[in-house]
Amino acid sequence: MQFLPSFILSDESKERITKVLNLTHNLAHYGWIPFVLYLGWANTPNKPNLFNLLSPLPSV
Amino acid sequence: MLNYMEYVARSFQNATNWNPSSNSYEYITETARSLIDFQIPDSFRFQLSNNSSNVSYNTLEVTTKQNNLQNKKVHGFLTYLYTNMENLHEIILSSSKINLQDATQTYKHIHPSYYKRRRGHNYFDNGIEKSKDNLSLYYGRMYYPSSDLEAMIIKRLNRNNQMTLKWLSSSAYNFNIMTLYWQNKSRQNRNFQEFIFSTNDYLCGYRILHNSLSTSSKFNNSLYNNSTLSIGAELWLSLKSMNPGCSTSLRYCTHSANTGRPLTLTVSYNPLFGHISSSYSAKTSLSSTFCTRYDFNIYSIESNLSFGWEFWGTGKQKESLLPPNTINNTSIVPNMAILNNVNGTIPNNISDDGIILDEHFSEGTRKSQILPTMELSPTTSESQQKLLQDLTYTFSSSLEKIDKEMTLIDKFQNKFEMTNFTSVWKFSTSLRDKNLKAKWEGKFRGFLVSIGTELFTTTPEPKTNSSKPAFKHENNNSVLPLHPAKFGIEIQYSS
Repeated sequence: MQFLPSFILSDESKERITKVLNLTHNLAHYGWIPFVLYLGWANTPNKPNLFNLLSPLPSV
Repeated sequence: MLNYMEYVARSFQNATNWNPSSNSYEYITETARSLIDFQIPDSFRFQLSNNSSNVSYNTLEVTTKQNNLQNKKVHGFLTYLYTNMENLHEIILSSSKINLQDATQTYKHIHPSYYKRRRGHNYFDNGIEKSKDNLSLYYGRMYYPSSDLEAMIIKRLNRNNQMTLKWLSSSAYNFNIMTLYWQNKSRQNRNFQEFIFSTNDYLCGYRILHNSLSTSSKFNNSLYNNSTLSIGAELWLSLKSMNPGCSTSLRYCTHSANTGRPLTLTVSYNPLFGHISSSYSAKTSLSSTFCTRYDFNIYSIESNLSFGWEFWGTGKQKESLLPPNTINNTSIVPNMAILNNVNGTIPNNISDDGIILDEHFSEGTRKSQILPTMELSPTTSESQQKLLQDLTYTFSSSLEKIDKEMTLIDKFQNKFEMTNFTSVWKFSTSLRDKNLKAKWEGKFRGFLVSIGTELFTTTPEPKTNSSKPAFKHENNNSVLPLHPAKFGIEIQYSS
């Protein structure tokens, strides 16, 4: 049972893990729509202008 | 009215022969819900959508309403969607061209055996086979000004399996819910199973729907059956709070043999809450639909009777044929020739022709093909041939009856899809809630417009002994039996 203390995380480690998780959450949260847009841009043969992809206005 | 993105996602699923609205337990009572529990807009809402490239779609929505949670007068969302199904944009129609039947939630005729294909005709019918890559759909919706996010990935793993991941995230409230769906259907669409896991309360769920496509109808004296019986159930368990949930339902869809009009009956039962719900929906004519639903609780002995009506208004008749996505539903006209030609020869390339019929019709069609194909066999002797001819003569009236019924059903379905409806009035009322919902949906100069209101009955207020003379407007409650609880307008434009 002596090895157990090594598995108990210190407060610093817990804080670090929380920070990493929050950062990942924020990255995924704000990065999801750019990712969807990038997929659309990358898989369109003529590589449309970013404004065309972003804008819901009908393209001329 | 369907949102543009719902329309795109639905078209994607239909184009890949997935069709959850007919096969999934989630939608087993969809017809009754869309006719009685339709949404009434409660604000001014404007949606602008665009198919920005062959594979990406976007939507901007602006809503003006004083929201209690966020004291912002203007809010809305931005939605972006990407799919690697390259031909999808050809079946996505703009708001000026779309059929109103496809844009609105209405009577849903069930085609559990959706899988059929025609060689060189509907490539999207066969999209899953033609595409080498796994088909997928990525979707993101960001609300403003709260910047909450809704994300979804639909990934078709193979012909019979599909994975869906939904994610709801809010950075402001530190809110993070993921739901994973794994859906599986059997090869002939008989069984559709779903395994669900959500991080919210660690909720696990299982749904199953079995479409029992029966063989020839004995009572109808026909060789085919135009009806479908679906039985389904769902089980839920929250691993965190150990709360269970379950329900079971039955759905029966058929057509009137004389008129070809479809009708649907459903019965649902929730044993934990003791809730029984039964509904009857029918297309009473080409431009009207009627639905009634009776809810009853065996524990509290409370009941409710609800009615829903739909009236469609027509414009000019279409000259051109259907849009591509409705061609799927036009069933079996080429095969009529086979049935009519009972005494003649049957072309040997029925299956090679690439036409796979609806399961509704396949049983009868197969049987009807037995006699003529045997007739073609060179090994049959003269007596056998005579016997076969006698049998053919005996069954010819039944075959003609099948042909007549199938033609009627097909004709009604085609006529509904071909008709250029320009508006629909929807009404719904509930005896217990004492309300009346009214909604108008229609096409106006390329815009899809939806206007609705919900009216409630008012309870008469006790008269006060005030000496003041009552003004006329103060007595409005007694004059008007109904007062509006909701009113809203929704406008959509897509290009």
